[in-house]
Amino acid sequence: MDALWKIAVRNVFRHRRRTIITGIVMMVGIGIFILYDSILAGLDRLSIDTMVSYSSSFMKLRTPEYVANEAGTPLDYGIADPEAAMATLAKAVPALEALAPRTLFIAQASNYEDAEPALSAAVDPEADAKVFGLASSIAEGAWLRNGAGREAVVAAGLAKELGLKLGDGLLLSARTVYDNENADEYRIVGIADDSLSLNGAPSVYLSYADARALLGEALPITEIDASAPRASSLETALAASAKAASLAGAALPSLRADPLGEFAKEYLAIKDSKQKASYMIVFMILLIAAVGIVNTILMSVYSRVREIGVLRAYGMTPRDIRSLFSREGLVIGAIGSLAGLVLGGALVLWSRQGIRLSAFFGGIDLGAFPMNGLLYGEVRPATYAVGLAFGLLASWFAARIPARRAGRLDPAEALKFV
Amino acid sequence: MAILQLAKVSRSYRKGESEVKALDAVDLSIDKGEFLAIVGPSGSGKTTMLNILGCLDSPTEGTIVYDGTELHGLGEAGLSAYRRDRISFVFQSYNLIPVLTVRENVELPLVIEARARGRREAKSDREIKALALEMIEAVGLAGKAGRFPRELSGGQEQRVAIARALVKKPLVVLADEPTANLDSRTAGEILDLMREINEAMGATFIFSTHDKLVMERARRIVALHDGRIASDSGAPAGARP
Repeated sequence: MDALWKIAVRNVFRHRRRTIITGIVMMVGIGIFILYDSILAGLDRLSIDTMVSYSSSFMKLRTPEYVANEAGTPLDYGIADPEAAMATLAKAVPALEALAPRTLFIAQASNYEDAEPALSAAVDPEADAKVFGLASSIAEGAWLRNGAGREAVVAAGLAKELGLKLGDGLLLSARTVYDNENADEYRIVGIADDSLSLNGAPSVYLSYADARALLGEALPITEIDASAPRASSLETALAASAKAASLAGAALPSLRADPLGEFAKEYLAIKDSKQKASYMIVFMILLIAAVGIVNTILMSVYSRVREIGVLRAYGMTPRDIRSLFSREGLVIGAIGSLAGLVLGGALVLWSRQGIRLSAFFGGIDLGAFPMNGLLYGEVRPATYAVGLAFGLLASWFAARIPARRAGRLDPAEALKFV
Repeated sequence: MAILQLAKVSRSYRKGESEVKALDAVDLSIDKGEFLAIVGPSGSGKTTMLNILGCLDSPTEGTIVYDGTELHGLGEAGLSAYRRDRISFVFQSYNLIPVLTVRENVELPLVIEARARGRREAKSDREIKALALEMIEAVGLAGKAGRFPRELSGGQEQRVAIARALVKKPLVVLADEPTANLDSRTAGEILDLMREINEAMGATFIFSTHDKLVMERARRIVALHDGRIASDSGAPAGARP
């Protein structure tokens, strides 16, 4: 080992207490950064998964006219031949797992005393359960069944708002395809969990048979939703969805295929700001650790002034002395950073057991953050590399300040130092 | 032949508003192989003289010629190189590097030299180790090469310091009060060791001291008073040509 490294490493271990204290600051900083980044990535994943499971699906196929007027959920722009379109789609995009038709409409939901406007969906219960995650998120009761008649599933939020319970009657009124108003009563057979209340998904679900009875036999299918196997990462899912939409658009030029990224736009924009915030946090923590390193190396310089004098007397240049103390900083930084990687890894491992978000955000509407259920931290090797590089660079630069001071010491004065 | 010549060397320091002259127009010529003691009361300029001889400080006036080379205007890098290649030091409080073993301390001057010279011109690690072990044996510490300074007595530490000073075969060894921290028996042993090495290797030894033991063994004594040479016993005939 080079003599400077030997002296640097041994001095770092000679002053164990100083090294341990500075190393701990560094370790905690980098450990928290890794966990924070992993949880952010996990949140991103969970948010997008929730979106895919409850509202946007993996890819959505609609007519361009419908998309242009989508805010009003019009019933005038249905897909001309949905069966043929689904067959074409299944052939053109083999990556798709399942397809399901849906028709969204606005209804007034009432308990006979109060009424609330509710985004509602006509669905094919069996096909819908293969594309969306609704069937498995029923908190009370069960999902819709084909041919059962006059059944509805409502979101927990709407049920709470109207004071409705499982088995209660729900009065729905809406504008029909013939442009008149119609109303009918349905029995609540299922109440879905909070997921539906938080992400703008429909609050009332009816089977196509019931919806046609309410809105008219000519009720069109306004969208075809698709699902695909869960991708290994968010980036992969977005890329796969974009590719599927492009293939679908080419196969069905009269329809518009929107990928997942289109629905997650708002969320993805916020995700970038969160990423910046995470780097700010690590910067602040490493700044604190850097101050610790400056302090530790300064203490080291002042406790070894005579040693510096001896090394200079024997011909070491100021540059050698600077290099010696910079290396000490780097060794402390490396110890702290590596310990930080271990701590971060352990915390991420813990987070992968699943963190129940309701324990942190229970009952809070996070707007553009559709987060529900269990959060699993994501393992992101790049974050470990960034943490290590940040730690080493911060300690190297922090050590340069006292190292420069050591290099400037006059050898004759240093030898006199008591 | 003079290995070291000081001509009209002065060194002044500013102390507040006033100027203090630590050395005042000193002329001194030192031959190769001398065993010389610089003596004088505190504040007489002994340490300043030793620092200037050791290239740790530069004179404000006058010239120094070291083995035919005029040191004036060498600059920081040049002085570092001069110290590295030709001068060694023995300090009052030994000043061994506490995190290095005896062998590593003795190797240090050679390692510093090797770092400066680069891989091609430098001695190999094996050569450096062999030279260090040879020198450790010469100062009577064979078997203690793997010890750390904290495991040695004061006399043993000073022996290591001497080995460190001599391992690179310097032209001059400057010793600042080398016996001040030792009991008289150990001090006598250390001085005898230095004399033996001086005679065997021909290295020039220059001491700054108050110690009678040193003065008794020195072949030449230069007394300083108020920054001037008050007396000089002169170079003995025994100094090497």
